[in-house]
Amino acid sequence: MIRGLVWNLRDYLRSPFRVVVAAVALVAAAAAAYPLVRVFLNLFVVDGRVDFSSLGQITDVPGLGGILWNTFSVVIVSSILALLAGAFLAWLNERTDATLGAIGRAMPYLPFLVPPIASAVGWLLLFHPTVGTGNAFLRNVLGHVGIHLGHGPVNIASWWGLTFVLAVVHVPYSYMVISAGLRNLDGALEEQSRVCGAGTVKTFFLVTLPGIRNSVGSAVLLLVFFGLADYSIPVIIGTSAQIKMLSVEVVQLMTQKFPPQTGAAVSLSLVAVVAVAVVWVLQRRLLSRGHFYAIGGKGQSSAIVRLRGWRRPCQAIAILFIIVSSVLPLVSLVIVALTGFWSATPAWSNISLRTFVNVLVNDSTSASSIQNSLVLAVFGATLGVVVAALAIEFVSSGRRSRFTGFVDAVIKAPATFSIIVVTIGVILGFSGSPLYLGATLTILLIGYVVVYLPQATVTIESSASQVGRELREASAVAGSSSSGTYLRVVAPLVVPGLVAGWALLFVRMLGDLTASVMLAGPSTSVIGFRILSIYSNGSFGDLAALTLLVTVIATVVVFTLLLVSNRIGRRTRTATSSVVAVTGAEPAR
Amino acid sequence: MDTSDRSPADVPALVVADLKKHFRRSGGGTVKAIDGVHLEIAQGEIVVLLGPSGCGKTTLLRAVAGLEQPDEGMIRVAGRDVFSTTGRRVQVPTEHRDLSMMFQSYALWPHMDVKKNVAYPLRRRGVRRSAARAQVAEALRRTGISGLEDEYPHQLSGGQQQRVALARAIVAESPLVLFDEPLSNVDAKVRVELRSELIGLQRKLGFAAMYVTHDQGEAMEMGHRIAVLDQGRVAQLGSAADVYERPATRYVANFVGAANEFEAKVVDVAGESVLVETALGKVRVPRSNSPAGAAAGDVAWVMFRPEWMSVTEDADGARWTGRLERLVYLGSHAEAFVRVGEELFQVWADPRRSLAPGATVHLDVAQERLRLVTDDIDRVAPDTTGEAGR
Repeated sequence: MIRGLVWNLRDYLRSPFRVVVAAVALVAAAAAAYPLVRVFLNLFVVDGRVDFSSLGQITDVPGLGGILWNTFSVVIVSSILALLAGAFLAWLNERTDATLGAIGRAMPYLPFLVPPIASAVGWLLLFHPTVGTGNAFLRNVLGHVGIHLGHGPVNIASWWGLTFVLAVVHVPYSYMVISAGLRNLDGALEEQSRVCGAGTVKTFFLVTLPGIRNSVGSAVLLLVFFGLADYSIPVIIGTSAQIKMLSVEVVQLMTQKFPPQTGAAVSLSLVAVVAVAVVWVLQRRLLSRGHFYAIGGKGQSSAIVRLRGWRRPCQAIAILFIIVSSVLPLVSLVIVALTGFWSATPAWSNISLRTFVNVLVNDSTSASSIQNSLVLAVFGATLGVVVAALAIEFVSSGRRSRFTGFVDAVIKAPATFSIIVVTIGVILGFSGSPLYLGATLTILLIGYVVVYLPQATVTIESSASQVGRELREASAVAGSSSSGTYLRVVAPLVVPGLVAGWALLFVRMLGDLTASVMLAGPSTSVIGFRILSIYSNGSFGDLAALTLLVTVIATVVVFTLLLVSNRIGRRTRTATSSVVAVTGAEPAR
Repeated sequence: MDTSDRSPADVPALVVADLKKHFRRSGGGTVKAIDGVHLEIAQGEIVVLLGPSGCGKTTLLRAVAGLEQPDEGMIRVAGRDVFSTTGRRVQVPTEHRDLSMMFQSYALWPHMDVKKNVAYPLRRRGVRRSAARAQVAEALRRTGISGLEDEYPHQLSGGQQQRVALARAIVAESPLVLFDEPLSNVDAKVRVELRSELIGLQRKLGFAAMYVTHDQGEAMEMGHRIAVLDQGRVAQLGSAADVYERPATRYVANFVGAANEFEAKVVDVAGESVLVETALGKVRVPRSNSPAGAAAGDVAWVMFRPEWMSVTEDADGARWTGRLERLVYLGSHAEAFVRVGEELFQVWADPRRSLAPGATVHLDVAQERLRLVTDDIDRVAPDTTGEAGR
């Protein structure tokens, strides 16, 4: 066994390409593990012994009970709302004749096009109880029917407002996961149920829903994870509603206390980690109890439910919901940015591009933030994609072993913890001795890459997994070296995934708030950092302009790259899927 | 096995000696995927690895390709050791083994057109572009798909994709071509067509092949010899006739073709026959049809094929008498299921004969057709080894 291992190692060293791939993967794993290890060492190792007593510092957090109650009540209710809405939209689009067309296809991309910070600011500008533009409009309408209100009628700066915005922003996640589940569920199962005499509703509850339980479970996990991790909506809407959420408190403990209360911050973050873990365990329990069988991807037809009279209303509700939830906040951002001020009744006569000139030119801090963010996003996305691609190559090519599995798990480990914990680790690991990178752009770059690498890995992995093992093996049998196989077979097929991964990383890094607020400083300001400082003491016109800029840049980049990716992928994707269909098919007998 | 004194034409295309490969199960325990396999494939010979899924046939093929790494043993391709754990360890990477392989999924690269797919093995082996072009055209012509050069895999039908994969497997004229269930993904008609074309190609080009399948019809048609695999071991290696007429073990008897069998206990070994005691009375089996070293007290099974037995209405000289339970008309013959005591026998009968279920019938089978088989791979009848020992 040992001799075999030594031989494998010698094999490895013979190919420079594989050495490079392994080195990159190991460096990536080390970079992912280092911050987490530092957090652990800092808090739980005292005088060389493991000691969890610093978890007790959580009690130093003022108003702990209220924070936990707010956080869990908001996240649970918003997750339920997002789940129901997402499931309804997905079912409508995948299983009925009320399809959503291009809007349905665009849904999963919405969170990338409209960053949560833009939604949060937009909703606040719209439905602030007194100065909200939308509220003023509604009061005006109500005034015509004889109802006169001094404020409201909607108050986004409230528990319900916070919950609603969180839910709306996260609907695309549940929609995406449940759509995929429905697409993979063989329509014949539903047809069989109909043949057996069950109606549309019965079939949905008895066959469809149990069939996609797995996806529903994943959706819940995703919603709870993102709900607990989100910082932008709690900081914008929660703060104006005077509802303190966990993520906001943790960031405050790290940035507004001196010295930073790392122990309390990490202990509080771990509450979120534990909550996600509990959901995960519950999900596994519930799902493993059921009798599941994987449903093959062969010759599927989906049973289309005819909604008859309900079709148009359903379609209208769905499309209205999507447009309102994504477009309306942007409209209010545009109004405030163009008029320069936030007021209940927009000063239409003041329309100009003054605020954009401000943030791009006049205000040097904003201008340099934009510049820094663009540079960091371009470099970070490129670095992240290259590292992720090579790390996946290391894990997925050749023989799977415990070691490659371990490396894979370590690289993805930061995804398990919230961005906040990982960022704290980056601060502990890189800002002080021995590297002293604090308040540099380098630490921001490292932070972004470590925080977002798992996401890039997952995106690229799903496209790399389409490259069946036999495609590589056929190349090796044909006499190609491992670098040749990568360049000629793997890379061309993974390019669409690389492009998508790059777009994802770029957008995430450009609009990042959580890591930025902890890693950036006045001399290394980035967009997210700047948005928050304008929010606390600046002009709402500039805030709207900056937020819109992020949205526009993100949209342009994502659209351009998706077009490029589609063009590259058009030929290979159809071909790849046909190969997958062939590989996955049972031998015809 | 010293190959130095053999002339090049005598060098076997493949020698596998004492090959072992164990997998560790996730839940603990090990699976012996390859358990001490010996195998030799001569130049120009097709050897089929036959067995149900999980018998180790694909693992063995992949080990020869270098896609799986055996634990120990030796693999020699065209006189060159590509894997060996005896003495100086040798482990040649797949890309330097100079083999060709046709995959079950065809494994056509979707981003390359047909001519690029087929030219790939040539280009990687240093053939110049201009020279490769002619060879590609020839390979496409031989596999009957000239004119598809510029198509992409997804634009082709399943049968055409298969021919492209075949063209890619033969284009480099490797001495040994590996086939991993290459015909299992197309419909029956195309499969039969491709089988005979593949045989034609092999006879013409003369490459040696290792061919994996779970289909016994395909195995019998394709293989000069068939290696029946049972839990990582070669249960029998011989011609189609050897395997069918003289199965080495109970497993082979049942996997290849239909078999009637019933338990027996050896009572006496005398002269040229072995006397066994069964539920149907004492039966005498020729010694050459019995396991080597059979001795009184051994437990074995008396085995014979349905078509070796006949149904008679004449009680005289019949071996057994039973009741006809079911008669299935199959055109070329009828299959009769006859209950004798506790045993249910399957017998071929004349399809034009009128036999009514419930009728009493008499069965006869010549003594020299009876075989005695056991589950023990190491104890097989002397006549089963046939060519296997060569």
